[in-house]
Formats: sequence, C-alpha cells, structure tokens
Amino acid sequence: MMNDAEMSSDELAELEAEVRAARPASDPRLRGRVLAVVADELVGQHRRGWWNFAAGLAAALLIGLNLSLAVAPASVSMAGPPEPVDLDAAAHELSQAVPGLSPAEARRELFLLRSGARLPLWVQPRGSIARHDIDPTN
Amino acid sequence: MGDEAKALLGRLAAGEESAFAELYDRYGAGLLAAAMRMLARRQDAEDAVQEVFAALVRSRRRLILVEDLAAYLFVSLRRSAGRVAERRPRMAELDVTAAGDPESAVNSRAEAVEAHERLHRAIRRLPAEQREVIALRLNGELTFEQIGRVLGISPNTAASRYRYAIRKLRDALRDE
Repeated sequence: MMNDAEMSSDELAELEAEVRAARPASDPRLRGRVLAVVADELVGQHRRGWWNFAAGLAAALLIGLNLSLAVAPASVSMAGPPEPVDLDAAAHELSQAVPGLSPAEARRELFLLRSGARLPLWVQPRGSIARHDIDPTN
Repeated sequence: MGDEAKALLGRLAAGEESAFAELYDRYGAGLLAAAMRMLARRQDAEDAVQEVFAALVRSRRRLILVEDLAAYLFVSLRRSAGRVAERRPRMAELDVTAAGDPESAVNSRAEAVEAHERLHRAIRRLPAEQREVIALRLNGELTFEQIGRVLGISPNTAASRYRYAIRKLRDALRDE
C-alpha cells in the first residue's frame, strides 16, 4: 500500500488490520433509527410536495383570475360579433341624411363604419360635400 | 463510478426507501467508525450519521449529479460531525478521554480488550487531521484520492498524513 522505510509491509498490514477491526460494532438499533428518519423525511417531502403543488395551483388560479379581470374591460369591444344591420335600410337613411351621397357611396361608408373606421363624410362626385356642408337639422 | 453505484444513486434520487437501507448497509459501519474518530462520543457519532442520511433525503434530487458516492458521503459526514460538535462542544471535549467502543469488545478476551483499548487511546492521541485520514482510509475504505476530495487536500498530502499517523500509532503502541 505504501513504502515506509521504517515499517515492514507486514507490520503495516497488521496495524491497518488492527485499526480496521477496531471499528465500532454495527448496531441494528442505529440502522432502525436512521431508516426511520429516512422514512419520515420521505413522507414529509411527499406531504410538502402535495401542499406546494396545491399552493402553486391556487396561486396560478389567482393570478389568472386577476389577469382576466384586468383584461376584461379592454376586450369588451371584442366580446362578440357585431349586431346584424340591415345595410339597405341604413344606406337609405344615410342617403336621406346626406343628399349628395349616392346609395353605393352610402353603403361604402356604412362598411367603413362597421369595420371601425371613422366616417370621413367627404364625398367627391359632383359638388363635394364636406362635414361643414351638412346641415344637421336636415 | 460503477454502474451499480450509479443505479443506487438513481434509486436514492427517486426516493426509494430500500435504496437508503442498501446505502446504510454498505456505508453505515464505515461512517459510524469515521464519525467516532471525529467526535469520540458514540452518541454524537450516531447523531452525525443520522444527519447524513436525513440530509441525503432532503437533497436526494441532486444525487444524480454525484460522481463519487463514497467521497460525497464522507464530505457530508464531516459537515454533520462539525454541526454536532458545535452543538455539544464541551461535552465532546470532556468525553474524549472516556470515548471508545466498549460494545465491540465485550465478548473479547481480556488481552484483546486491552490491546483494543491501547489502540483507541493511541488513535485518540493523534492530531485531528491525521485521525481523520486514518478513519477515512481504514474505516471508510477510501482511496487517497477520495480522501483528498473529502478533506480538500491533494492525494499526496492525504498519503503523507496517513504515513505520519501510522508511524505515530506504531510508536505509541510500542511504547505502551
């Protein structure tokens, strides 16, 4: 194992064997105690694991709920499909309100309105009609 | 590390109770012997070994990363022994002279008991760093490389501490 000038290998081996033999006797009581601690720790870990999972799940649900509540007002406009509109009737009403507007243009403006664009009320053909030309009392 | 040790580490990491029993059967006696060399009092040594196993369970998921199980266990034992010694520094100090392992010698002949006691006394008189190397080498069955890893010293330093310790032991036993 090692070279020691002052010690023969037999002497060394004998001493090593003696020290090895001097180890404490194995004690079944200690084995039982250690393994009981191991079992307790494992059970504790499983229990803690379950609680950690439950706490994590609850936290995730709360965060999700919180986020959905925060986002809900902003998403109201997207809450559902737009209400159905009778385009012909609406175009007719618009043509009456704006006499210079042809039915086709009225329909186009209605489409723009429905798609969320602002109605510019700026009509080109023959004598353009701008916003200030429209008499709101008509 | 052999496949067997790797498989055992995998089972330990998975939290298999039988794997911890197997680990105890393989290393328990060596750990206890080494702990007794470090702490002198059997009760403290047992507490330290118990702490090693409790800590193993707590950190079991990291065990797959361990490359040298024996060295890992003895590093862990040193920490536990340190904690136990901190908790009972005065008691450990007082018990050094009364330490020993009477149980192991109960059924031996009187001469053997006397030889046994002389050896224990000689080991207890060694400086702590040499006693530790003796314990790791002869009770933990670690190589000098592993001892170096456990103690944070080079394998050569471990071997030389061991050599000095053995020489001192021999001289002490001759003198008595």
